[in-house]
Amino acid sequence: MTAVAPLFALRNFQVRFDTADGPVAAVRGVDLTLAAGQALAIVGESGSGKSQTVLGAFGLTGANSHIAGDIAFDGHDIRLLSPRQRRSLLGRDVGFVFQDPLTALTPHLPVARQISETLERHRGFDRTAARAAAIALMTRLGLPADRADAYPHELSGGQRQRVMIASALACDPKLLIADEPTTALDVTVQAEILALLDSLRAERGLALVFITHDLAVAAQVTGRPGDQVAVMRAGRIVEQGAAEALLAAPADPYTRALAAAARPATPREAAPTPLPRLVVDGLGVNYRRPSGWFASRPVPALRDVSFTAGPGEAIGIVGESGSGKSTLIRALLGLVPTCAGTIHWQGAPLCPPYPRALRRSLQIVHQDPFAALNPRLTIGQSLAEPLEIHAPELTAGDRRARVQDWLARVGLPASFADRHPHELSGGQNQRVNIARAFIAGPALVACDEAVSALDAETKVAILDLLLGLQAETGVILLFVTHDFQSVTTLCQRTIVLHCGKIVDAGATSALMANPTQAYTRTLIAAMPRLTLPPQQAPAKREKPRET
Amino acid sequence: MGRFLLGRLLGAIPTLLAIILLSFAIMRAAPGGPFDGERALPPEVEANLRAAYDLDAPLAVQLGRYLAGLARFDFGPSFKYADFSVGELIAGGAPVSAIIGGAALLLATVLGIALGSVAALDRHRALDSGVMALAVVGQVVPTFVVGPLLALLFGLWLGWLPIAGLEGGARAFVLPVVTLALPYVASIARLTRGSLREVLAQPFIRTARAKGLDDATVLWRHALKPALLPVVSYLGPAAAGLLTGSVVVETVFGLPGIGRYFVQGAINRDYTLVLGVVVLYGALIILFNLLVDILYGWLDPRLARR
Repeated sequence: MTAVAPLFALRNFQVRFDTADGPVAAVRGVDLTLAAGQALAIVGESGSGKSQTVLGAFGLTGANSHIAGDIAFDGHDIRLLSPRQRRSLLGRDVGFVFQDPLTALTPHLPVARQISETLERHRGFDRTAARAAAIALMTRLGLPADRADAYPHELSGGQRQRVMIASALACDPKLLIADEPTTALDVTVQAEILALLDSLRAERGLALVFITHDLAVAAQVTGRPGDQVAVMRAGRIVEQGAAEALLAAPADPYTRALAAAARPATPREAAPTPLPRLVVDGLGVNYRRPSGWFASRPVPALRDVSFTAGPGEAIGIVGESGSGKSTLIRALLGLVPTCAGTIHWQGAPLCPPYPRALRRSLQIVHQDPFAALNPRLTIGQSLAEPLEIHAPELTAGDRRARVQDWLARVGLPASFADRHPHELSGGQNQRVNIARAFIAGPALVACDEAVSALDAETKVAILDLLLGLQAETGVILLFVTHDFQSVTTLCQRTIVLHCGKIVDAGATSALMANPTQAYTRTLIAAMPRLTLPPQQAPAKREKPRET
Repeated sequence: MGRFLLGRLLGAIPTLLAIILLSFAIMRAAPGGPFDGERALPPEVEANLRAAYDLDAPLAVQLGRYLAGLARFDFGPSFKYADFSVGELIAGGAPVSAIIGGAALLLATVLGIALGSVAALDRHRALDSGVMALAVVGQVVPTFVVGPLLALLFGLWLGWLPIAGLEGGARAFVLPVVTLALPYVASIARLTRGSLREVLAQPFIRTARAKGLDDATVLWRHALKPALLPVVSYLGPAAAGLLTGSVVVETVFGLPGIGRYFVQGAINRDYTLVLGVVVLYGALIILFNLLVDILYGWLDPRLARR
């Protein structure tokens, strides 16, 4: 591969955005080369400029962006091409797969049409021929042909991402750019999609640029000789090199931090089981799906769920989307009606509507840190609200002091009390949400995918925070997630849910080390993992040029 | 779908009944009556008139008789236009109003969506600002100012178009249609621009561009349908309003539509005439909102009823 001109190369590449607050540099001088058939994984957290780099190179960053530097693709100097010439490359020689396929596919077009339109545009197929080719490709990628006329919302997440891949590959491009293609998917579906991409590379000699925030996923897609990994931070590449060597011995401190975040966690020690405070026995929940004019029929969401939890315990509740794990949390908090079984709290049965005093004891932290906070309230107001409701005896001054105290306890500066959620990062907002859940002195905090929307490094920090708060306050933590790694760090015991039933339960360390149930094994096997030697290995690769 | 339609049409009956009941009560609660004039009628004459028009019966009986008539599409006699039934009055004016309103609706929809799209797609902001400035003017300048101005310019000074009445065939409709459509063009253009801007920022538009599609295809195939959702919900009630005529336009251009009956009927306490036009307007509102709901399913299959 040495003598061949690279398929895709960037030199001193920069992307700048005009914003209301003046110009913002998103990419500050990036050098990349990729030969035909090779894979390059660009790793970095949100805002590192990893997506803007590839989008900008192909003119997809929007009207308020400015591009500088050299962009070479397949013998073309992209910057010299007219918009029309550049469009004729897009979808034909380079295909794109984007993150969340539900929002990245057009909602009102049947999926086969979204694949076939590329063929009509670039290959001059007529509508019938393009449709036939699209359906053939769907079948090849493991999609049932009878879903050709389905709309995106009628497919599962994994099927939608296969549609995206099919539309990107319809014209047999030389380069596939995948921008976080598995971030919105369950871990088992992610494993399927990664395997599919790998087989397509082998089959078509496809070059791949894979953008991810997860070093373990990056390691998995760059498994062939010649593949590379580039780590980006703040618009620059901090470390770059052959995948195997770089992952074996990360030189840059930032890469090492990412690697540490992706490393298998040491399981939390199982504590002696305390006296249970929460006893769930044979819990069942039905959802009602409308059928006919006035009738609805029940659809079981949870069946026969039993477990207990005591003070100081952290229970992991693991499962894929649709497994009923969020429903379980809602049922415990009295937000959905139950149809079977009992919930006992401190020896007394719970039945909704819960009295206000109980609401003080049972709190929740949601997945999306922005959506969970009222955008019009300051952080201080959001934090004071639970106190106004549950501790009316406090004076305004007491409340302010309590808010300041909790901001400090979750590691935020006191000045944040006067800010609004949009001025904070996702991780900072999640700290606010945690403070809001803890501030009125709960006895149980349920975290519903509370770290799923966060970057790897932030995730580790938030898990640390939760561990510390639990040690201080002795609350029961119920930690709902699809990610075994966070469960390992945080939870002494774990419950695995599948289709509304508990399929496995036990001490987390035992579950991870020696899973007895087939489904648990599938979940653990699907987890992308990084097996790294100890961190002090020397750096022998080229360091990227600073620009 | 058939079931859905049937359900909605049956559901319209109680809605219409409620509208009739309310209008009936409000009209009767208003002071004065249909036979009040400059000069008070002799009591015996008024009593005769009231008996002739069935106004001496108890209110409940009057309402019952009115509803019974309505079931046979009999809207009752007009109190003010003697010798005419309300049905005849509406049938006489409705075609004029419907033609002008329908044409204005078509013009407003097509022109509004086109202008809004141009403004939304404009990367240089010049066209955008121009269109939006015009739209604001179109929205704030009232019809009774625009109408006479247009008549002055195109009718009197340039002499291209007739300014009043229906003589002159299709040309006679041009000025009323344009006058009636203008504020709607402005509203639809603003709605389209705003919602198209939002849709163009969606991830699926980036996907479409990443396939190498040109701007026109991205707009027509991917962006326009979801962008039209708010426009369509605006168009439902707007269509009912346009088709039932506008008292201002009819007055400015001297047209025999039904828009004026809304005002005159109410001023004259012409109970049956008011109820007649209200029932017509209510039925149209219900019908167009049903159409809007069906269109929603076509524009966005996630909202489709099955």
